[in-house]
Amino acid sequence: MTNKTLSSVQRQKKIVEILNFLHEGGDFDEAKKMFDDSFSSVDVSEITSAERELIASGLNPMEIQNLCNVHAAVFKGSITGNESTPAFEKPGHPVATMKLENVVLSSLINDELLPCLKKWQQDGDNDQYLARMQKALKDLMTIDKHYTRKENSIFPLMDKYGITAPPKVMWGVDDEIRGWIKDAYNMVMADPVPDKYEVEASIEKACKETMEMIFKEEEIMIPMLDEVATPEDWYMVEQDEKDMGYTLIPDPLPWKPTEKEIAEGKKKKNPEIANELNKMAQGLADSEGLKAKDTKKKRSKKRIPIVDVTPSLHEDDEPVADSDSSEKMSAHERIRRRSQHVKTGLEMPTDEINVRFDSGKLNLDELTAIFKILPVDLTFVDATDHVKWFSNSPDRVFPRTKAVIGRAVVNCHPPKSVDKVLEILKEFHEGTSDSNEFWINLHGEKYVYIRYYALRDDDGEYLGCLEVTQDVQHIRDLDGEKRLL
Amino acid sequence: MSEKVIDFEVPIHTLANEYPDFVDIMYSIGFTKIKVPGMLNTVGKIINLKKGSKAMGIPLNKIAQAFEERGYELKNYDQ
Repeated sequence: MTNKTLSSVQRQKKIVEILNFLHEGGDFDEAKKMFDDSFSSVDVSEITSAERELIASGLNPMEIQNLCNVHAAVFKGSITGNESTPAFEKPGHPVATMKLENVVLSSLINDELLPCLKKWQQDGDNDQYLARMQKALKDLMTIDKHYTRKENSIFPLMDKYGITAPPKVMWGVDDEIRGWIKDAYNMVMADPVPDKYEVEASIEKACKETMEMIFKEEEIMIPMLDEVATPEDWYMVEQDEKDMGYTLIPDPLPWKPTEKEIAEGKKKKNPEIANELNKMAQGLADSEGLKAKDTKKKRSKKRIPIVDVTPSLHEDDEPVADSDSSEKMSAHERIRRRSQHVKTGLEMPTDEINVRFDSGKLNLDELTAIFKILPVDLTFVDATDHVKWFSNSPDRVFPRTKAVIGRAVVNCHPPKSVDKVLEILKEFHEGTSDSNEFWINLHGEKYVYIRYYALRDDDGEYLGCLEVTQDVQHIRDLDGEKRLL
Repeated sequence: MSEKVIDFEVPIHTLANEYPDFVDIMYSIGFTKIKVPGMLNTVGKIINLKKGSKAMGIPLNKIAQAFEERGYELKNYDQ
């Protein structure tokens, strides 16, 4: 092979080329092939030395991890006959990301935290082990990001296919685990540190529950999702999860399904289990008394024409289907439609369309920009208690994902707070209350002020609930004055 | 009467359909979520007793004992 003659500079160039290809969202199997073509006959040590030279010349060492994935897949391929990599194993696929985090978390627990705990117990005066436990537990607390992603982008997916009970149960356990880890952390940070056996019990409890959750995610949740979710679903998860961040791993590579995967996903249309689950979920919803149908009738009663539109609007192209036609669509089709990225606007140049308020007109670009910059985060829950819209400001206090749109509000809250939310909504529906407010001190870093308002039309008809969230720490800190004049 | 057999590798949803006392026995061992509506029909189709044991941190021998006491035979239980 001619590859053997690749110079060290050429090899480096090739590696950079493959990395760039991956970062631009290039297909993993394609990258594998590029790698294989250039390096198959080259010694492993040569690749490592090329990588080392690249790091020396300023490449982020984190990148090497991406390269290692390609690397490993090539070697694996040469053993298994070079089949294409299953989607779940491709770097950047939400499942691969989740599993990678779980590998790091398991290692943090089993190779660092628990061994240090043991040694600290045997050698009580050694502060080094205590310091390492403190550090490990602090790292373990970042599991919050892993859980937040799961709760905000994967649970909605289960929800869509009628799998509603398991995410609720799991969310409750997630919150308990967060609590146990925090308890353990507070213990090792306390001065003096409490009784050793108390510390041991606390850390072991946190570790045991975290490990069991990893098992639940990988052996129950993911196989269950695999029954129903399509490549487009996973792509939507991938798009949503970036903003929430990752636990103890560098930002994953971009991933998107290949044409082939999408085609295969279509064959999976409405698998039996999904139908069954949907039926069951409907039964549950009915028994819980969610009167979606009643309110829908009420809603379609009147539509206020507040938008100045010329008549050429193509209804068929409207990406967000209205509730009537979406009933005829399969669950897959609904989700596929929702996952399409749509710029705010109607089917015409946006500067020609105005929304006319009684206090002036705004075109769609202006409207979008205003919502984006408002110093408060807005979330709108419609009259049927389903999330309809949120303002997508870049630094939201609480993450919101597009997957949340269309979800029943009961499924979007941690089990602990759901009763409170339902109570507020009930009062809004009944008209006995029009607003409510909460304020939370978040770890002393943020002071979160949350307000809920009932929205009603001119006739007093309930339109929905607007949640307004704001970090008011800065406002509380203001003192004296700063004036224009 | 045919033999009552608990297979540790069969989805628990199947076992629950077959044996009316299965859910109560599981609940008594500590699988309390089995009674949450919608759990048995979803999670129950994916997991068997081996996985359930690991997921909930309930030892296999505790499960085995509970079913043996109620006259069940054990299958695919190796510990």
